[in-house]
Amino acid sequence: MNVNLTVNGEALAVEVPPSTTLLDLLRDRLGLHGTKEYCHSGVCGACTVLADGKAVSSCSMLAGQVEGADLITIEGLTPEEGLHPIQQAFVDNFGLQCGYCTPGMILLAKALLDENPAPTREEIIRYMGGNICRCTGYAGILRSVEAAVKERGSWS
Amino acid sequence: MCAATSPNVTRLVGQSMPSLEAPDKAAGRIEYMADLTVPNMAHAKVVRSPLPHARIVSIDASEARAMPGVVCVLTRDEVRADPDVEEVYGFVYRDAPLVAMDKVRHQGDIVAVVVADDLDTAEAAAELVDVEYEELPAVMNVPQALAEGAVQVHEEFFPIAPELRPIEGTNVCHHATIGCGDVEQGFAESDFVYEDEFIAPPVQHCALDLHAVISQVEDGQITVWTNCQSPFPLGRELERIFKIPARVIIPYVGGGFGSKSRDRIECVITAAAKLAGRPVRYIFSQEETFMTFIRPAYRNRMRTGVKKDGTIVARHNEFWVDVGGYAISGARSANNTLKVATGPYRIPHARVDCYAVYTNKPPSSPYRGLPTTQHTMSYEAQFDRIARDLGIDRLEIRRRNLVRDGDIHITGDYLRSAHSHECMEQATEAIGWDEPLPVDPEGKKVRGRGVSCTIKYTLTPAREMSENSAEVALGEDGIFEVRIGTVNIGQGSDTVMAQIAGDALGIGLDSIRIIHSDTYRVPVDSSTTASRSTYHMGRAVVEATDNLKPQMLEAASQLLEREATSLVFTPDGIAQANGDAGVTYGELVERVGSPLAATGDCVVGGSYQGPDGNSYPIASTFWTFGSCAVEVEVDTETGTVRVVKAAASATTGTAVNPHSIETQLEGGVGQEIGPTLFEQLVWDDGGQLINAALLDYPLPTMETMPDYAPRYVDHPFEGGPFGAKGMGEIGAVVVPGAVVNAVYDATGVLFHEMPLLPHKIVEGLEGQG
Amino acid sequence: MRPFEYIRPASVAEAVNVLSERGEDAFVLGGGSAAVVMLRLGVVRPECVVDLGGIEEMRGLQRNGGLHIGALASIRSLELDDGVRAAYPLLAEAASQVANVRVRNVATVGGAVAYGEPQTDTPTALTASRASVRIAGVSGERSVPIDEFYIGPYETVLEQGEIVSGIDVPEAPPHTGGAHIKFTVGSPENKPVANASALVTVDPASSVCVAARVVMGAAGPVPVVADAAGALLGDEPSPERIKEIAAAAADEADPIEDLRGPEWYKRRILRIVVEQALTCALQRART
Repeated sequence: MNVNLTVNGEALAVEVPPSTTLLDLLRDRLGLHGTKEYCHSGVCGACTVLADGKAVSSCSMLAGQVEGADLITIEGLTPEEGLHPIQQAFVDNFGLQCGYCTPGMILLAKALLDENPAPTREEIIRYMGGNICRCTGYAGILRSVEAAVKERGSWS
Repeated sequence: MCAATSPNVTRLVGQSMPSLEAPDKAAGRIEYMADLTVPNMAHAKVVRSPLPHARIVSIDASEARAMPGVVCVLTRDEVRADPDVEEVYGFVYRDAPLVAMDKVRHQGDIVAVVVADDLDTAEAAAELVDVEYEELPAVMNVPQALAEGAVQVHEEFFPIAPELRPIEGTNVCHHATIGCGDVEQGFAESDFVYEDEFIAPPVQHCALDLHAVISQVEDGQITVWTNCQSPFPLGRELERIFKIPARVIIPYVGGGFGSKSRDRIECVITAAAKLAGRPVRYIFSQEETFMTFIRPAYRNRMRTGVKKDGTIVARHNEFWVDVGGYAISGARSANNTLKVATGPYRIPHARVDCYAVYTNKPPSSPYRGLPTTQHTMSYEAQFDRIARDLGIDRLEIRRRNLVRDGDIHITGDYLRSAHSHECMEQATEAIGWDEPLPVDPEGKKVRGRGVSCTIKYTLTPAREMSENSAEVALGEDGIFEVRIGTVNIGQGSDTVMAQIAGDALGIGLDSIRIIHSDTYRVPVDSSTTASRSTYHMGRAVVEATDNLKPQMLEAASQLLEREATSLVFTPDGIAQANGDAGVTYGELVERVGSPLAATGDCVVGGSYQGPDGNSYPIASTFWTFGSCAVEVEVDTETGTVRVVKAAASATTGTAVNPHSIETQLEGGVGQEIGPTLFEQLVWDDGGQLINAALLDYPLPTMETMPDYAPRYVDHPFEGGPFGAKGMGEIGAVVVPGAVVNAVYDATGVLFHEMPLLPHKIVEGLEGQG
Repeated sequence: MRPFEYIRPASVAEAVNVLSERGEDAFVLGGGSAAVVMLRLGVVRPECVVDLGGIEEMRGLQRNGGLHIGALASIRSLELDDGVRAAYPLLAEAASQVANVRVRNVATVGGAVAYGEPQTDTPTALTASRASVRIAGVSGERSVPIDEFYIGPYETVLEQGEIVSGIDVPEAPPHTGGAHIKFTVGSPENKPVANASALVTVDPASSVCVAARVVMGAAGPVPVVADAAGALLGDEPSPERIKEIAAAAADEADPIEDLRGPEWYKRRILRIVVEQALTCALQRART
């Protein structure tokens, strides 16, 4: 089947078997390896991407479901030079160790800050609570998101 | 020695810095196993046993083989038919066939491997492999496995590591003891004797980067890409099994926590690749990891004799570890923790019995601290019971018993840098130990505080040897390439090694490139486990730089036609002490015409010459001490336990990257909150694991996170690189003991079984159930 | 994943036609958060997947005397919609507690209703809100009170070829308060041990209850409507009285032992969540 969608600003038409998940489409067809797989059941959040600005689990959607959608992956968030302020906040605040959950965490944080530019600590925890990290105990991630919130005025 | 020696200044060591690869990780640019492909790669699906214990009557893979797109199917017949393949895997305990031969020993045991052009085909074909089983009685836990007349999981034992001793005719694949003094005499001298039994459940590591392997067998050469934590032992095992050279390449690894330390899947997939005649990739599903390597079920029966003043006189400790269907890892892991089962305490009369027991559970593997975590929970919980019974303050009873520098440990080791007191004081102070606890006006929620102390060994050979080398090479680009076997698993090892190499050479991070864990590009290293890398690899790196420097001086001396003694190292090159023109590092190599390189070793084991002139054994190259203090809130109505504050402290020696240490401690605490409060694997009566997926196996999240207050004691450790030693496991190891004790403090009930599920708490508080 | 044919109808009529033609070979996909996992695990092995996601007429939330929830409306839209938050706060509160934000962004209200999973929050709150389920089939549309919609776990009155096209929720009278309480072991994203929704209307003059509905989730094969709530009518219950009613409600439940706890414990939690939901709902009704 043919799927028309926009990925990181580029309009694409991709021919895939109907059983292709969005995750498979991104990773295997488009070579966007920054989106990760673990639980494959919508729980862990390693596969988080933004679809029309909303955080979704790309493992739990079929490619056909994103017909016409505008998708942002970690590759799309990353500028040509340097890092997006949220990414930089994760680096500076030790918000990552093994790095496997990191793209999903950063995109979830992006979705949060787009919806709510000045979340409280409780709001951050409630929103980010769904994504799993096994290394950091989450403290560094919370510090990173809080730092990004503080810097929020300097970017859009 | 020439004038230009290692500068003693540390400019990088001691600095908190994000990991070198952090920007690439934040950008999603780092490639993990699942991101790698090789040309002409085929895909594998493993046919796994649905039963925990069964004899294989027949395997018919003809339909699968006939399916278009299927390359081959590996079963016991193909393995047996190949004279150049050894059938059984295991470099610690050789008991795991590449694929099941006569029987399967756990649900998920490997029966066949289907290789196809694509994964969908492999999965479809795997369903066509027809396996007839004759179900055998299964022993699903240690009591069943030890019962009279229990079925034997293995009829014969094949321990490889010399310290492993099975008990023939039973399911005990290893029994060992350690001791000091005379335990019976000790109990006789005690005023009181306490006996308790503690239980901890099996859990899964849930490292998000799924275990995966690509294997290629070509022109008499094996190349394996894998996220294994032990590349060199794995390479040697591949060479033993297939009798040809093997190269093991490890990319960045997305966490392991012990789960990736020594699985057999690399060998299985290599057999499949050999049969296929093309590279084969296999990636575990999350569900499959749950059936392949788990933290073992654990039970500890502990008798402790004390004087009225709380001084410990005697301890007899028996613990049982459920190693599952194969002891490829679990038996030695259990044995290693004999060294720390009595804790960081002076005990004149002690005996510990360790039993590693086969069952029909999935094989066990280390989990961030091995059973040290469960040992610590056991002796610390009992210690609080003793303190309360004797009316002694919980910190005071520990102060009276904690080891100090110069004490002789149960292993005979002379303890150095044993700052367990300081750890405990730091941790308790960090959570406000003496401050009044908040009181719930409704009286439903009660708070309490608890503390635990621990001692952790690192892997250490029984005899003096070097299993840890590093190479430092200066290239034409003026970059020092540091080649290490340490696997970058997220712990920040590349950064720590760069800090150490940078200070050893007096250069900046810009002049350093880390090459890690490719067995054909880096010298030997035993494994990235047991908090060992900073110390062992750090020392090897320092020694490599020490060996490289004279070469560089010699080369510079010839080029500049000056005495070596008149030359000095600078961050950019070798200069002349009198200010005349020197040579940059890049020019030096360029003009010599070849790279300058040297290796360094870290030799450990053997014996230690104590300050008293006596010689002491070294059962562990260094000992890490740690402590944790927590505050919990217990909802007496629902039974929910919430860890509100948690301060872990560890002895780190010199803190190479302080903030990295703090985040390791936070991460360890955060992870272990799961098995302490709610994680556990559950099997039904038919031996089927019923929660092998995150939907039914919830993990800690940001919402279960306490307020952390990581601390460390950074007295330099003699012999460590710049005085550093390892600490990566401590944050996890100390958690359950502190939490159980805090719940005891809050409720007056001492719980003996983890996890502290709400309904168990209610049962404990109300005697229900 | 096993191969299948993929059909994305553009209208309800088209959807029910293709479903009735393909019969048992077809599998309905709403948001996909549960369905795609089932497909991956091979729990279902359909020949064709009918993705309802392209049906414009099943989208959105409309307020017109009551609330019409298009079957494709996301759980998250229920959580965030200002109108729902103002007039149906119970629904918004329950929606906000479902799984994680990624799931809520994708999972549909219609899917949550049709799936019939007992361990979830939205059906509990919809049942408390006296919702009715619009069912579309080749022979037309029918509406079924949600109390009668569920037969057992993952089992509903939906016939072969039928789909949930929407949910209607009547507007609550003034002085009504609602609350949804979810209890989990570990993180709040986890499946509930038990949950409860309470919807209570009080007479502002006398402060007594004039309508009360309590529904318990993860409390039996289907959402359990507690008869015990009837005892609230005409009463201005004291905290002790609420406790008694909650205990009576919990006795009506039929929870099963599973990974989230033994039966006795779930009953205990039901008592607690009903008490909390009622207390909170009454407080909201009075303000």
